[in-house]
Amino acid sequence: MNVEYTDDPHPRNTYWEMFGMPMFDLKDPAGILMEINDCRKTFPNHYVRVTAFDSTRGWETPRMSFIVNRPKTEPGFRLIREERNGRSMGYTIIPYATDKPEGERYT
Amino acid sequence: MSETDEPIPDDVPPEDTEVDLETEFHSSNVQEVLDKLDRELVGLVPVKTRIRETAALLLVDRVRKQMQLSSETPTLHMCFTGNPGTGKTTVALRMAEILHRLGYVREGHLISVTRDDLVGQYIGHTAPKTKEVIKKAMGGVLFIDEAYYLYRPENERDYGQESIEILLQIMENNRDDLVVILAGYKDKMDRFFHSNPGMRSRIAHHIDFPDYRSEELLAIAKLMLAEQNYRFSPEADEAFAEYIDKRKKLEHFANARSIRNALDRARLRQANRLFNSTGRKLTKRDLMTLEAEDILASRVFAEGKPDTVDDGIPDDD
Repeated sequence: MNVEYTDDPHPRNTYWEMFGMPMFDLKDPAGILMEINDCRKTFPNHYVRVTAFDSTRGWETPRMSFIVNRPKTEPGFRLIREERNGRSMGYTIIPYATDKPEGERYT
Repeated sequence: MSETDEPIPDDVPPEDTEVDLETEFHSSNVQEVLDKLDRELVGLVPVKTRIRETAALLLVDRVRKQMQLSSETPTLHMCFTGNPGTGKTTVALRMAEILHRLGYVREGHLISVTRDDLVGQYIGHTAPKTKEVIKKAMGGVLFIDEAYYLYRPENERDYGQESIEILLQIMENNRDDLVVILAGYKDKMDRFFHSNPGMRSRIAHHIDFPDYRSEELLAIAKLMLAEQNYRFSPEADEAFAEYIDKRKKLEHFANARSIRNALDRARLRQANRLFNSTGRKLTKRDLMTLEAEDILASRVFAEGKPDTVDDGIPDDD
């Protein structure tokens, strides 16, 4: 089990910060819950996710992952349309939150 | 064995609600664990009595909870004191099972740790280490062996104190999730509690493990042998009784643990004896039986000191 946090809401953002050590061989959810609540207390305005890993294939593989905390206000995303050759269009999204530097985004 | 005379709390609800302790008792299957405890552990009468009392108390508490007479989880943290090899770990394992059956811990597993698993080596190492162990033990029982080592008064900057503080906090706040059992020698534990009064007040049950008597040790030896499909010949039986008496007077005697080591060495000698007796046809009985000579070859008889391995350290502990 692993608890991670970030303040970059882009859906393709895979680099989340780890909160504490990953946890192995837990028999009871109470331990994870304790860590989750700790993390939420420390980062009440960040995205916090829990990832469950499965090692039955010989390496640790994410089996399940879900978000347990979100910032109170989420300004959403700006859609950028890009004109390309011919009449084709490129699309990209930019989170409004990332206009500010890391750590000041959801205060 | 029907020890069903639990102290029924005298403030049972006046609107004569029926309290069926009997059914409650049977449905929890605690009896099974208690019986197993009786069967597999020789002696230890005061310990067994205390455990039965504790089980009764917990059962009554659970019924009281159903009657909404009490809402708080009782303090379940325990302290086992006694000399080495008196069965503290084994009893802790059973305790975890009892607590699980009664529904006081969710998983009923036992995590056994010592100072090394809790205390770190440098600043900032202790807290994550202790927390990791605690998280692993949650939903079960955390068994801290030689708990008095956690606190080293001679070293002011020892990290053990930090570990104790984290433990105390968890013991108080996560009472539903975790039961802590401390174990150690009586005098050292007393000193430990003396310097950590907070710890003492958070532990409700102090159970003292007495040393085994010689007959009990012999019974234990036979039980151990039976488990491995060995047995004593009648002469070996006598020899071993004598061995126990002699060994008990020597230093580093660790009760059941010494017995197990003695048996291991007897098996070694038996194997050697069988290997060297080439002229004779061996039977299955030979493979199973420990003879008196296997035991009498011990140095306890010859020189009056425990058997040693080559480095001269008694291999009992």
